[in-house]
Amino acid sequence: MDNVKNKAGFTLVEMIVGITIFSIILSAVAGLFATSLKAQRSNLAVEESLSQTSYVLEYMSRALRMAKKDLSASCLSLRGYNYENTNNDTSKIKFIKFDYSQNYDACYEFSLQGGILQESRTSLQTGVKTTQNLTSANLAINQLVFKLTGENQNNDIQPRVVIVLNLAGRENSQLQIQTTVSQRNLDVNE
Amino acid sequence: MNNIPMFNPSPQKGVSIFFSFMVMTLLLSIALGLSSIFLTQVKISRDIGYSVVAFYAADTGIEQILMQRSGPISSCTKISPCFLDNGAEYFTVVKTPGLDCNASNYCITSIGVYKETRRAIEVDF
Repeated sequence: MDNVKNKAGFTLVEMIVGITIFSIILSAVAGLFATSLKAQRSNLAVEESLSQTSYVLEYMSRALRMAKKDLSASCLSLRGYNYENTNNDTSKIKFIKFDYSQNYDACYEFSLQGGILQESRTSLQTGVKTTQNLTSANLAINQLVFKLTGENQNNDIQPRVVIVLNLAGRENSQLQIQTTVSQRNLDVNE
Repeated sequence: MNNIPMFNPSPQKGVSIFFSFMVMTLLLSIALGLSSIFLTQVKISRDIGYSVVAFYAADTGIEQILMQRSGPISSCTKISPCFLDNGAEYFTVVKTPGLDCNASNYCITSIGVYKETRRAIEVDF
């Protein structure tokens, strides 16, 4: 009996204090770790949104810079215009640009279809229309605005397009981005 | 002498508390280490987000005055910058050839600012 008594471990109070301290530290650490994991997931979602946004803005900017004037109203509704909001809808823009894949001019349109940014191009040679999505379903575009300035050739202002993008990615990541693009072809009266 | 515990320490005593302490320290170190890495990444990611917005604001500044018919005239200055709808702002500085402008016609510098992030673009032609 004496031997058993000498090998006795901890008392009940010691155990309770030990378990309490262990639980407090463990729950604090687990909470911190869970918060960090959540932040990491959100971080990856923001990076994905930024990557897609940068790509789509760069793609649209390059196309809009190289726009040509419509001298025969074959793409836009009026002759002598460089850009046009389709049906006066500011979430859509139409213009003519050289299509390198067809080696001919095409009528381009950027528009928003169910939260996805879409590009459609109609060949001015064959009339064939092709459509492609520029953003994935992971990215919901809540607002897309194209504000036009000097789009008509009858002014002395070089055509400019202001692009406003308001989007939401995974994990509720939000991003609002705005930029301006000016046409590189000089807009002289023809 | 053998009856005095101090001189005859049992190798079994105190092992549990030692292991518990070691496990807790290990857990705490791993959790704090990973948290620190994740939080640093979150800060970097947030800064990249601000950087993208500031860069496009700076790009706006260049595009607004680059193709002006009468030459680039800055209407958004450091004292009175221009504001975008998303809260970013920009200002431009136009210089003619001289000591700090080694170009044929103009040197345009545009600075975009979003929160604490600034990005600049310079165009010489």
